[in-house]
Amino acid sequence: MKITILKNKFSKGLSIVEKITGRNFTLPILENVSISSEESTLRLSTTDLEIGISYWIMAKIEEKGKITIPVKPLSNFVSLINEEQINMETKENTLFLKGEFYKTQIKGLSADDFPIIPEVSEDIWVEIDSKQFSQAILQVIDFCALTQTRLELSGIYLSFEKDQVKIVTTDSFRLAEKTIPVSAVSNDFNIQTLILPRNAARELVNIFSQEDGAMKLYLSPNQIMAEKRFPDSDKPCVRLVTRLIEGEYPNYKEVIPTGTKSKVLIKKEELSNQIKKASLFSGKSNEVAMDIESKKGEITFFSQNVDLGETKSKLKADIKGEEVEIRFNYKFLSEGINQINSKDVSIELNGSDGPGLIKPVGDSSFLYVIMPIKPS
Amino acid sequence: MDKQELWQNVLSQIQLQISQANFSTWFKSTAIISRQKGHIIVGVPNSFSREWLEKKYNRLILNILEELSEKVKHLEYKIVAIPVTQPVSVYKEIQSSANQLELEELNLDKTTNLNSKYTFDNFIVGPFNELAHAAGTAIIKNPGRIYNPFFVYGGVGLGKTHLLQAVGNKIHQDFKNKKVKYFSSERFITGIVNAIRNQSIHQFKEEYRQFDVLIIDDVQFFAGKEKSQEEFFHLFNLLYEDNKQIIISSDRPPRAISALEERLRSRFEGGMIADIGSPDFESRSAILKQKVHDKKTLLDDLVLEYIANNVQKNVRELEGALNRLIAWQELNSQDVNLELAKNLLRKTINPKNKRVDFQKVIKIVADFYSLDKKDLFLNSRKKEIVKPRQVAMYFMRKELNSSYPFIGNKFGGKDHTTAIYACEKISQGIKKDEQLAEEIEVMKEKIYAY
Repeated sequence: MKITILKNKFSKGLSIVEKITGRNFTLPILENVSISSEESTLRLSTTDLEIGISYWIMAKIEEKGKITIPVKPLSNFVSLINEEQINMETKENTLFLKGEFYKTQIKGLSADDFPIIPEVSEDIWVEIDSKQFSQAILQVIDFCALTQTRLELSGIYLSFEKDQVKIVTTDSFRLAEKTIPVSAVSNDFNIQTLILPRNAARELVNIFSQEDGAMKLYLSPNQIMAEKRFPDSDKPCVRLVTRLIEGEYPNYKEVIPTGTKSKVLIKKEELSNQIKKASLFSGKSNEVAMDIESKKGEITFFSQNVDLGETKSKLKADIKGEEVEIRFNYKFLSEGINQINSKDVSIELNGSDGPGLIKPVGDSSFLYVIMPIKPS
Repeated sequence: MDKQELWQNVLSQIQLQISQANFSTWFKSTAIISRQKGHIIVGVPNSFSREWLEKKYNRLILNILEELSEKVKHLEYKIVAIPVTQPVSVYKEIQSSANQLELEELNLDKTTNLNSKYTFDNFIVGPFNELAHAAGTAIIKNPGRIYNPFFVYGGVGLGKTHLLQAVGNKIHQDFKNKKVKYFSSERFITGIVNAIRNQSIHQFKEEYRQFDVLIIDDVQFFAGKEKSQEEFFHLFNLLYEDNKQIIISSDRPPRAISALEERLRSRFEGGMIADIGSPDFESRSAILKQKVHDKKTLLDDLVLEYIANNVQKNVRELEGALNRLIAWQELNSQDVNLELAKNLLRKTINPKNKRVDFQKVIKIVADFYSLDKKDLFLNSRKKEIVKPRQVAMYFMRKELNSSYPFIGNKFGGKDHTTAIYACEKISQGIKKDEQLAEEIEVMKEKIYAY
């Protein structure tokens, strides 16, 4: 292989693919990036056998070939080069990098031993704005279950319809749902649902949140492929293939309360401040009590801690319906509120032991369901 | 050679020909999943393995199979679902109190509505629920043939729902082709109301007809809802004629459910009726031990004994008391001893702190007999009023320890002998009249419900 490539592009490509590699004792080649030349592009690939990432860079190809190189040292080295172009050449299993003022060689392994990154059939696909999709995933990703006991809850549930996708996570104490539009789908598209592993979702966000424009998701029963193409070309520029979580996601819609006994409208900023204040005294249980007084139009926040002391504070709010005293884990509460992007927040409660529904005002695309702490 | 042995043989030969790293990466969790007329399908855990075996080792595997004199026409690789172990999470699990409530609906099975956490394994059997349990275990062996309908009754928090769901779960598990459905009566009623509104009552019935096992919880809420009762009656007959199993629970026996139509009542009584009473001391201890085990914590046996001795009526309260102690233990990282337990549970256990007063007794009695509170104080001798008034007097004497003259005075200046007569009459009545006894039990539970 003999090629010339722009340093900045090469460096960016390496930084994208290197994230999923790590120490691997059983199969050291997984620490490597596979570099192979195609017609006019260079393809970089890495995998951890759950996720595979490929990235294509325009390059001047003089002689085709392929090799795998430990990605961390290569990436670190390339990022420190301060010349615009890099000349690369392979001999046996060694990569030679050459510039005006340097000459470097890195030992690698044969490309024949590198795992083949599986292909996903391109029959069923959806097209979606990559920034918006990444944003939406970020909004719900923190609410996945971290347990091993219910694997299906450890991932992100995606339910694609013709014109929208619902993105859902829950850890059985709270649940978040975000809905965003889908710009196009393949022919004869029916509702498609899948559970994306959390790690894969993080990688997906890392890669695609930086890209403008639309991305495509190719769906198949056990795996999906996320792809972005070169502008004005149908050649892929970056691809992420990941295994999906097997299993059936629970019927989460049952959880979203339909009625409401007390409804509160409140400024988001003020609410999170009060919760922060109360949380200082909440102790190990993370417990913060809220007394919703509809007649006075006031919420009283209360928390106490045997060792430290206690605090009580009040906040005016627009309250309709029943009075209720309810206790929450403040982390569950503030993490949900943090994901709300509107000035005002609507909180709908269903008694002191029923689920609460938190939504932004004037935006129906996000909702957050939270369970209180049992009143004693 | 069966397919398992065959694959073992293949693996042991491959092992010698490729590196250990490659072997353990690519051949881990593989197996022959089918072998028919030279058509072999190898199950692999993921698409990476599939690609690799297909593209790199296909020749090798074929050769070895041939050496083992296996005639192979076609070799195929297929991904089979094998639970994956995710890398150990680096995120810290959020600390939370033992009382944090969960979104229960997430545990429901989509097709049956059953919650998989209720099983027979964690159902404690004692003299108080022996009969119901025995009937339940008989039903799961042969649903629909014996004990149909099966009617379970008992007070709140004694395990009716647990038993019903366990029966449902077990049938669902053992008889794959039987359709099991669990409904709370509230859901059933909502279903009927919606069906009537959308004029789809026919579809509604058709849908319910398909179930082989229908479980309806808390059927006492049907009381007074005539249309729902009527629809349920027809549905009941349909299912019953087809030998479909029907399981029903209620907080009181059929004859004590007021405003339940006679024909429905007689249907309910036609099968097996079993009651669940209050657990005895041994059962309470066993329940506590089971709960402690489920929650994966430890509590001193003396403490458990104390709870079992003092919380007597209902299993849910037992759990509540236990949760309180566990929460305290977690919060303070200190074991709860007997003295401490007594202190912590003082409020829950000491019934004097429960706010039972005159007003509450009147309200509950009036509500129960669908009267207005004022009616109880009327100077009337109508039968509908006399009995409730006597019941109210009885409760004031028994539960509030009021004096007879005080009681008489409260009810419009009646003589204390009237109060004495009323209390005696009800006390005697309870012994003779089972229906009255049930009514008194239900009201008593309501009085102490909060």
